[in-house]
Amino acid sequence: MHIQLSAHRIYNLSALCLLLGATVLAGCSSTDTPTPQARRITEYQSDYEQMSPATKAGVARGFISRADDFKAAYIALGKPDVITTSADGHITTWTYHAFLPPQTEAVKKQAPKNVRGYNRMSSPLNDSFEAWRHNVSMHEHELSGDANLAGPNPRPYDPRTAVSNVAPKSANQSWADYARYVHERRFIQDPKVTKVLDMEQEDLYQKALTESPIADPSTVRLDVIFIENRISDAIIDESHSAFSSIP
Amino acid sequence: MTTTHTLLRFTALLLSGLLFSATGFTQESSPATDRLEKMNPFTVSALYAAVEIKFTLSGKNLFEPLADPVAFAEISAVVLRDPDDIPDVAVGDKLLRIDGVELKGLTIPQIAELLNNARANDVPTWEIGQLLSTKTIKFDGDWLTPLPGLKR
Repeated sequence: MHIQLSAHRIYNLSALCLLLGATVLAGCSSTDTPTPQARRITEYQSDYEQMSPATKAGVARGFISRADDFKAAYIALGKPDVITTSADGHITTWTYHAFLPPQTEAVKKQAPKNVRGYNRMSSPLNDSFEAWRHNVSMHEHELSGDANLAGPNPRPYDPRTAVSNVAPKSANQSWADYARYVHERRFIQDPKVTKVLDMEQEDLYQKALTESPIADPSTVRLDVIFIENRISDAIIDESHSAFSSIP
Repeated sequence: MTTTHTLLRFTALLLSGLLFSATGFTQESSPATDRLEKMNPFTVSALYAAVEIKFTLSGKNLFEPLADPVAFAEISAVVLRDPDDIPDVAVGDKLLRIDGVELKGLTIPQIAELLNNARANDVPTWEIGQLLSTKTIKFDGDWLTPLPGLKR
């Protein structure tokens, strides 16, 4: 009887150990890797607790808004690659050279086809990034070329009829420079002059293909501008504001 | 009679000559006076170009730019005071030292104090870093955005 009891106890103990082990293993497998934002929230927990509910929700997902402070921007975006400031320290810029825009699960499932679809998304920052990544304009025209845009009365951009008759942007060219080219190309009526402009841009593009490394298309350059410690604007690829309104 | 007449003519000629010469003197001296009034050689603005300096910070004190040590200072704009003057500084130059003190590692208020002391002693000496070389110049132009606590 004593021996039988011991065997029963050993059996129970083994079962308990197995159960505990399974529980621990299950716990390990179900624990998600914390997001970078979650790690930074832990780092600045007390500052995070003092933020407004809207800011908390935004930064935890990697989004920023105008008037957010340095710590909110840090939690949302991480440490910048370059920090520059004016001589009086009033205007500070955080630059991220290869910034990967945040994406929610809902956004990942949606393949936006036009700008109207973005209205369902919650963050203008994210909307702007998504529009840029899918080369969809938020201003009723796009930069990669469209015959409909030529002339003084351009029609709204329609991807079904778009014709790429404008030379593409080169890898090492800023969007501001490329926009200048497209603007000139669009409003100059003399075909000889536009031909010269196109040839120059095409040369720049071909040269960049051989000389410049191709940047990861999923990343962008992001400049977050602070005035007096508060976010004033965020500029994507030196080109347009991440907070621009969506038509 | 003839002698008197000749004397009178000579006197009239002499007087008119004196009058014209006096007018000529005043006409010549007037522009010089104007020029001196317009140009004030004692202001710094008349001598040096104005500059805009942008600081790149080290990121050691991320949330307080004024307490973050500087990595380097770069001239981001130059405004010419005199069209004929070719300034010794250009956009893109790095400001490395003021009066021999390295700016790297200092905070912006410390740089302000350094510049203030340098101005109090003499015209500050700037060590400028260009693409492949450095040069030392005497420079005391206005800062378009003044450092904290300084007027220019």
